[in-house]
Amino acid sequence: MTISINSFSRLLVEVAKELDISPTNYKLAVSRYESVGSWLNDGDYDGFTGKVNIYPQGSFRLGTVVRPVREQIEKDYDIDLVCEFEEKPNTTQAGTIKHRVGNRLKEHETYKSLLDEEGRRCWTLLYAEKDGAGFHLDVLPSSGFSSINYSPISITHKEDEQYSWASSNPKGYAAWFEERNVNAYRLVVLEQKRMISNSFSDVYANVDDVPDQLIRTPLQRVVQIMKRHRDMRFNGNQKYAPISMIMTTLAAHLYNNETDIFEALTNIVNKLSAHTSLLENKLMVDHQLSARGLIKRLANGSWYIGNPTNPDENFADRWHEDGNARAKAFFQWVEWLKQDLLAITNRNPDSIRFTLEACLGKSVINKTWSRCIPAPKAPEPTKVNISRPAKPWRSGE
Amino acid sequence: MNSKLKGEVQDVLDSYSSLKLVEDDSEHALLGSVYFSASVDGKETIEASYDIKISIPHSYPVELPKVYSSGYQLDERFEHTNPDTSFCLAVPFEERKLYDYEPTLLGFINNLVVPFLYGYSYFLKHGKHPFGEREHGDKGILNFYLELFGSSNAETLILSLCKFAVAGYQPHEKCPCGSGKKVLKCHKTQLKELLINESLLKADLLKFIKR
Repeated sequence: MTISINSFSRLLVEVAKELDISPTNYKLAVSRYESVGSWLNDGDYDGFTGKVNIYPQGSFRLGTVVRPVREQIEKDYDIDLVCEFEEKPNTTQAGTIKHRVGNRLKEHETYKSLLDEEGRRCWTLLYAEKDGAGFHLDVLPSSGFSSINYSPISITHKEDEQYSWASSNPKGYAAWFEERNVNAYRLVVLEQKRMISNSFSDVYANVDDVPDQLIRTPLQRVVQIMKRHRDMRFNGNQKYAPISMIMTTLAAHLYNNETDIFEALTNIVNKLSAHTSLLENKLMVDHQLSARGLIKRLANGSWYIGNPTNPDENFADRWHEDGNARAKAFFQWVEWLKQDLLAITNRNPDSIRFTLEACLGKSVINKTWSRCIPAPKAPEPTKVNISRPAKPWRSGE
Repeated sequence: MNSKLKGEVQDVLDSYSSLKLVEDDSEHALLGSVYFSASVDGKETIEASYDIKISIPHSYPVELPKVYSSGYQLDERFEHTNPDTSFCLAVPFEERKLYDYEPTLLGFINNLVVPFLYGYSYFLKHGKHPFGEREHGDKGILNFYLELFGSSNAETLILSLCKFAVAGYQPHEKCPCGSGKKVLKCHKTQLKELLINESLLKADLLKFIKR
């Protein structure tokens, strides 16, 4: 017996839902970060009179959030929040901006108690939740004017007690991703809002109350599955593991508005895999794909994966280091994706389940498996109606 | 294996999922368990599963399959296995007649094997046969013919049947049952049924003709 592609797709969607933040927790997280936002906005900052904007960035904004995991143990969600001071970056020192936020958070009794040690780029508030699915709110101090045409902003960077500026464009990137996603989004939005409103009527009483940010297209589901697969296969911490930014960007480029998650995953993974020859400096067989230049190998052996909103930013700028270690890890991961998630025909359900527990997590598979994969049918007796019974006999005396 | 037999085998496998087709060099057989729930008017429904082997002869359907228990023997008290340990489903003529109602392997199983196993299950439970039983050997065969014509006069019956077996159906001859009526007005149906399988009938009658 094998698993049908249909059941497998359903399973992948259910797994992704399980990894995702629930609509209930989403609402909670939003209300938490809005409170943090208004607290920061209400602060008095020396020499600053402008506006403070608070908005989510990264996976929480893109709708590709997944629950972190370490050694098969599910951890708290990370939610990234930009705290943007509307001013020119040069007018203030990076360290000053960073401490504006840190000090203001410390003025609040609760936030002070939730605050983690200062990070390289952000301040982290650790919310623990009763039901176990808590979250970390990473507040990223920055300056700039992102509200004007998605302009890049400057974020602070702390290294060896020194603060410097780095450029970032979370809103611009999110807008690019949304554009790649919008056709698929239109197809699913009504149905999903209706379903969320039905299942979570205590949180979202009407269909219209369901925020757009909770809608997930097959692209977003695929990114979630790929991220979790990466986390499991590299056990959450490996130095060379592919970064989310790269997988999100490439998946969004390659997504063809497939309506089925398995179809989308198959397409994306196979096209990523078609780039493997670059490791050996060979040409790609698929010229059309090669011409798109999504992953480029330059003449000097270095790699290029451009930020779609800023071609000068190269996500793969460190791929050549340590003997192409990151590139190798990336293509190894793509190969694992193929083996773990695409090669499911001709395998029996037990073997598939075993693999999925290893590459997506035991607890999520345990929760979702029986909902999606039909149990082998218990044999039923064949019904026979005896209307003309013979009398048993025996040959010979 | 010809395509007709293949189709018949597939129908069996579709109905009895625990049976498998095995082919060794000389024969085809269906091996595995038949898991059935059999109902009979006026009697209890029995659900049971038996491991069996159904050997399909090359000459099938001219010869019918033989059925054996697989990995165990039927309870000795039941007494209805042949000397070669195959199940004695019915006397030959009756077996053929029941097969002909639904002349496929699945029909063979449903009309002969399952009723036999139902009877066996019933016997184990109640110590008696639900449908009666026949005496062993030729007595049982004779008994089948007597019962068919509702007769107790074996000699008349055999002699009369011999005439019909040789000359074919003759409506104005006297009925084999000994009623003295023309067969046309008596056991016409039963007689015609026998003459369809003339060779089987002759084989049986030979047993009773004193040389």
